[in-house]
Amino acid sequence: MRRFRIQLKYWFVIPSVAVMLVVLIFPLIYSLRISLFYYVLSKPTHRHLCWFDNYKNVLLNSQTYNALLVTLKFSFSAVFLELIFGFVLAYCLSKISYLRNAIMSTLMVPMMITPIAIGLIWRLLLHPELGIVNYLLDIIGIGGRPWLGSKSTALATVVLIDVWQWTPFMMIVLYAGLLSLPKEPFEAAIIDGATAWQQIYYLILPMLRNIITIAVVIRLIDLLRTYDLIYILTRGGPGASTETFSYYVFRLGFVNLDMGAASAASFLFVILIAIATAFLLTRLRRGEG
Amino acid sequence: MKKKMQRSLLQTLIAVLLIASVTSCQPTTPAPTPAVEATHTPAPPTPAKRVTLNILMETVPDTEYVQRLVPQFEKETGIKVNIEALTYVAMHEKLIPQLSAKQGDYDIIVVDKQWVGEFVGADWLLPLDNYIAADSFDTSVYIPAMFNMLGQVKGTTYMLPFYNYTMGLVYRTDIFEDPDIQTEYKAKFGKPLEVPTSVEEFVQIAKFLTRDEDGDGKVDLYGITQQLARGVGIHAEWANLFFSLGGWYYDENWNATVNGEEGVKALEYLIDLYKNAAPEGATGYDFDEQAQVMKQGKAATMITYSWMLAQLDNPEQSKVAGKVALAVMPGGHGVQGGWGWAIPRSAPHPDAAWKFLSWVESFEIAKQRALMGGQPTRFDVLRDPEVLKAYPYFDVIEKMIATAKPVPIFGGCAAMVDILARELSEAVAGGKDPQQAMDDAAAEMNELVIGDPLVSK
Repeated sequence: MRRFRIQLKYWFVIPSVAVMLVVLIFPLIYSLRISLFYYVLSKPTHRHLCWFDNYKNVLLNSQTYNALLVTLKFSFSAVFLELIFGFVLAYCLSKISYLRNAIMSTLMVPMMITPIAIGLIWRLLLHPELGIVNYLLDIIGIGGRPWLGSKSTALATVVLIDVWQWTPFMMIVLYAGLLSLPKEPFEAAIIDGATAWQQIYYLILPMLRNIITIAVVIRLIDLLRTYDLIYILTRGGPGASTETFSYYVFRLGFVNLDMGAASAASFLFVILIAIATAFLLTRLRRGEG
Repeated sequence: MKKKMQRSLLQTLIAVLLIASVTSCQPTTPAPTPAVEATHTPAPPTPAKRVTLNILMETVPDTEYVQRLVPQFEKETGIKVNIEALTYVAMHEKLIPQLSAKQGDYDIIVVDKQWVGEFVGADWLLPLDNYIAADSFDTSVYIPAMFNMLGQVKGTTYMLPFYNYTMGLVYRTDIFEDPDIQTEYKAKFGKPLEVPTSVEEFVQIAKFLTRDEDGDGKVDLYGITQQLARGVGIHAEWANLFFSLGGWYYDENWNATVNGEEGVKALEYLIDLYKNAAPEGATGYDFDEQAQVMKQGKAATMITYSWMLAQLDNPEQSKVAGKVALAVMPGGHGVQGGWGWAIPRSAPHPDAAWKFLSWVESFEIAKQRALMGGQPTRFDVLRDPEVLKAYPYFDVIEKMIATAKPVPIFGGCAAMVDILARELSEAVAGGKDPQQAMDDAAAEMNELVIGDPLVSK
């Protein structure tokens, strides 16, 4: 009977281990293998082991650094704005007492639309000649501009669209955090005559630190992989000013058909994301201790 | 009991694995796992079973015309046809995993001119010569320029030309014939305003026609509307000028030549047109946004695809219907464009697929498509009196096709267009030096041809 129990235990674990192997480990090893080959789909007769040439080419290519820089700029500015707006909204929500659920559900709508639809909606809104955004700006006398078509504004515009879509996520996570805070410290603070600003700075933010870190990590990982919004809105243009790393890898693989270089680039990027996430999570754990 | 439990656990495990492997098709795993193939049960076409043909096409007018005629084919043959239409950019990425698998979902695909070298080089398309011989299908009816680009590659027929989208100049007849504008032009340049026949003249006219008609300090008629978003559009805008100035991508030894005098000059003209004659937002436009500006009556010219005129001339869609005409690209050489029908090697029902191809490309059906507004690839359709009566400008299109230049047929063609699009966009929207942009593009283009099966160095 005892032996049976041990076996059953392992049986239960095997499916998840096997799924991990197939879904996670196998593609990783397979793409590692591909990344060591000169592997261009349209050149089936010209395929050979080239060891680290793909890595070398990717690392020597200035486009890689451009993509990396764009991704970092995009991710960090978006997550920063989402955190600020999300916190403000969550704080306001926690202070009002009526229509709370209705307001929250309305604010969450953008999050539920697929990124492709978001991209198409905003492309139309921002159409330089026929879009409503420039029309309204014209009326108040500011005058519109081609937001997605000019190099100086394209990335910022994409960031704002992402902020519009994903601030509700930050809001809902932080709102849940706010609700879970104990009441006593606030009562004590009010008796001591603390202002709302002091309450936020000395009580809410320190107590919410872990939740903020988790929300930021989740959003960052998501943002670092951004592909669909870019694909619909700008396709990396104008020039390469909005080419994120995921879009760059997509181009290497699916436009140039260079699977070797695409795998090498994704590998380097995975390593980078893993390091960044590990760093943030260690900080989180240290905070707990 | 124990064995039974183990077996059912195993079954669950296998089911989970199958589902997981199907959903894990990510860009980092280009090759299909064996499990993907196992989920497709290869069903050989038996007469008793009703065959369904899956076709992947682009969301363009010519696809609509085919869709309207398909019920005829279904009635005649009993074969069901399912057409999936996607936007241009979505098609390529959907096709790659399908084509590189042993068994795919699509029986028929349409191939853009710039994918021909890639798909043929990777050996993804089924040669049609046996079918053509068995059916004695006549391919000599096709315009040679079309058949050489979208039919055969190095003597083997892989495709049947579907429709042309060769590029030319669309201009507003009411503006070019306006006596006031004509007098003003003559006073300024000392010659009458006519449809331009050289690139220099075209740029001059486009800049001249850009004007503020109601005097509010803002341009309300643009000399040209362009498609300068990073993608195939900006490449086409440049290539039209490039070809007309006498340029070409590679020399006879496959060394890139885009950074020569013509390539840089074409880019400088493109920037000149954008800065002085086109809407500022054009750097974000694709062809539909570009055409919107024309349809609203806010532009005097555009360089566009042959099928666009039918839309611009349709009063339901366009404010300038009846006031537009088509001409050969100023300078004489537009970009040759077209799509070909092909059967992928991974097609589940190749025989039924050929049946559809020989039907859709028959004279009768090709003519019906042309009468709806489709763009012919066959001489007999293009010159058919009934078709010419409905679309008198088809004689211009015949001239456009005869003078246009195709992109080079090799595996790196789509990648080449992508490289050029990025550098052109850098120069037009980002202020990169034209010579530098073209030098950078040329350097990358030289790497593309290495090891390509269709390149003979």
